[in-house]
Amino acid sequence: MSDVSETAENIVPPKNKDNTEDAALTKMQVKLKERYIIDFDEPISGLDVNGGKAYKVNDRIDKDKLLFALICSHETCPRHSILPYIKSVKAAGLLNLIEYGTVTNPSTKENSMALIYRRPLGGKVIDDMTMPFRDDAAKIQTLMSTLLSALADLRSYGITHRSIRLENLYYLDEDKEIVVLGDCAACFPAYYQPAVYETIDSLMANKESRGSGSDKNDIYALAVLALFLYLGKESGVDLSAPEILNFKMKKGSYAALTGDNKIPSTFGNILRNMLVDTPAYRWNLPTAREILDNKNAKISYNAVQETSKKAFVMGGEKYYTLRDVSFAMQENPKDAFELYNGGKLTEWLKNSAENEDLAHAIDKAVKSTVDNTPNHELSIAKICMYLTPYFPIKIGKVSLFPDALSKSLFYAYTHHSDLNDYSRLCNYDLLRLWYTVQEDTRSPNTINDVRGYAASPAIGYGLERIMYEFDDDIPCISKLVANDYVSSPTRILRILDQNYNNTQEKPYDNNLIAYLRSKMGKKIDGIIIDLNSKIPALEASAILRLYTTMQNKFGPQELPKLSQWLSVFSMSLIKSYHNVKYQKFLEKELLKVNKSGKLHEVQELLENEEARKKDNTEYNIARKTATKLLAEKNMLIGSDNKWEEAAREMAIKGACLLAVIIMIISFVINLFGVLN
Amino acid sequence: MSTKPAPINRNKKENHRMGVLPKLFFLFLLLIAVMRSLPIVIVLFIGLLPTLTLLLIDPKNLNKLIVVGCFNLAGVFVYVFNVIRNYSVHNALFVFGDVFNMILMLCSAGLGLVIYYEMPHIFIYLTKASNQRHIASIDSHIAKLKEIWGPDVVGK
Repeated sequence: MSDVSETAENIVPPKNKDNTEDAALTKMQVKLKERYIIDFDEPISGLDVNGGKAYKVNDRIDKDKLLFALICSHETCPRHSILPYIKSVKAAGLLNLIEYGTVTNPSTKENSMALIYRRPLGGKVIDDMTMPFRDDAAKIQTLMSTLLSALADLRSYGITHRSIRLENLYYLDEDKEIVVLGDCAACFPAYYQPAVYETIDSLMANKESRGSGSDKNDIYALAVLALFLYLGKESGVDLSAPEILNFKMKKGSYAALTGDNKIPSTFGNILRNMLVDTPAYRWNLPTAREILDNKNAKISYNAVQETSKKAFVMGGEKYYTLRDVSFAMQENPKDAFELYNGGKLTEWLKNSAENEDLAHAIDKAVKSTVDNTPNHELSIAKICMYLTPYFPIKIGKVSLFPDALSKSLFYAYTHHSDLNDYSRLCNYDLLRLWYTVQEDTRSPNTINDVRGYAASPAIGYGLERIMYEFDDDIPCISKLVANDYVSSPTRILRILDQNYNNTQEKPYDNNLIAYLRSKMGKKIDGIIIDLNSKIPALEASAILRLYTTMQNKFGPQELPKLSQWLSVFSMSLIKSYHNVKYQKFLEKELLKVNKSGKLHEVQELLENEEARKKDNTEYNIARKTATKLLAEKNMLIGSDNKWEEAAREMAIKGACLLAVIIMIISFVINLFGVLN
Repeated sequence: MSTKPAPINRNKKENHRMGVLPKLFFLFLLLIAVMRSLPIVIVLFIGLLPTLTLLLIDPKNLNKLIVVGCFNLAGVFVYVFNVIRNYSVHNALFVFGDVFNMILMLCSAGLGLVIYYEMPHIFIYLTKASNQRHIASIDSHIAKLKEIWGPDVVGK
């Protein structure tokens, strides 16, 4: 048995630590919310789950409370947006989330999300090989009712668990009487789910792109869990996902999972109804709760056969159901497109599957391709969407459910995968189409923006914007925040301040701006326009305004390094003043202002309206003067003959005038001489 | 429709032309006037010989004629009024008996000629000097503007 089951005495912190509340923490201890001390020196590997590592936690107030911290991995990201709700849910069948917050791992220096849970003293159910539920269908049904109640509590907040498996089922007490479901928030939905627990459609998606799904995904996983509890073993986990998918498609999930084992009919019917492969016919949460809570209910199972009379032949294989045809077409889009072009699919749908409406809808959708050029990838994606609306969208190597688009993009970015498939998927506008063919799923209001965001090369747009805009769980993964886990804009400035090392050029990048736009909303649209202006001074002004606003709103009061960074980046803003002496004055003043680390002071200094107006006015006057002087100089230098000619003319006129005056003077003097 | 022929201008001109008799009459009157003012005419004719020469050899250069003529007249006026005071042909001829008087009258015309030719050179020289001072002042002003507002103030 794992170290989880150590006694309470063992995990109570030593007395010398407890006596003084202000006792200094060791290097490997980290405080969360001033109350919980996470000891990274004391891992509890038996409670590791969903990629997270478990560590012992001491509660400084309630010292008898037994807790553990699950430190989320960076392989995916935690479902941050659901944490407040999970914390508020106090369901009997669910491990209580006590607290959560970001901590720095002392050994790796990485910031991660820490989830503080009540410690299950009985350990994991899977570790207990005695399996008290084995062959006890009644006990399992009671447990299922409890777990369904917990799932219903989550559902009331619109949350699906998506981590229902034996590995994540715990005995809460040492007597192993109370069974609870464990964490569901430390990773992407269903990312660590073994293939056996996942539905056929979920298995067709990449594991990072399975999405939150619906309550029917949880119902399916719960049925698999119940089956394994009954069988006393977890079978099929050693098989690969494609093998299990094939197996489930050929035999159906129930038959594939139960194999040759005998299951009591009532319990079997419950499982059959919960393991139906077509989501529309699978029990949903209210139905399952209603039937399981009513012990006298008669449970029957009506198999739904949707096979056609004739097979659809593709690549030598015969397919009888829409689901199988859709799957085969997704796997071989080129061959499928040729068959469609040859009219074989339409013919099969009309004659064999007897679904003329579907054939018409497909023809109409395929013909409505934007540029009317044959595109087998897009056409097949559309055809499959109509054949099996509950399947994920597949383009290239990407296969995803639209609600997992952001997480899938996050995964691709953090794992440096090729993003071309995502760009095409968004540009084809397939996400919107997927929602239009769904009967019971509403599309997000912003779904129409996806195509525009993806097509735009501007700062604050692109796939990064889609990643952040459509999912609140996604932390900022800008290179400027490095290894920090940033789940809200409040910490961005502090991290930028820490990370500045005089080598980075811009204090922002596309990723960071996309993140801030998605979190701060339309009010920073003006700033984004300026950032895209390609005018250095305007860009510097925009980022200065943005960060000043953020510091005023979120703090902290002092950001000396960021202030220095912005000052260096704002050289173009300083240069935008025309007066050279004023530029030098600003440079000197900035050195003083940087020490205070108050961005508003930097902004006030660099963006003084009065100084700007005065500078512009005086500069315009200076320019006019300079232009006038230059014109004058050019006239004097460039056209010698003109002024020489003018001087000559003037001289001759002067000579004439002088001559006339002298003549008159002579006349007058001599006249007076005669008269006297 | 026929049009009336335009009146011939030649007839008009011929109408305005003086006849022989009026011409002779005017010539006669002129002769009497010359005879009556002979001493002055002698002084003017001899004194204004440089101007008359210029009138013959360069009649189109009015400025030159004005400058030389006016200076010449200024010099001749001294003797004209002298003759008026002692009005006689003898006295008029006596004026030209003194070479100094002739030199003075001719030199006044010569001075006019010198002024006519040299005045432009003096003016050009002075203007050039003034322009150079002005260019230096402009350069210094532009340098100051550049120092305050940077090189872009004079355009790129």
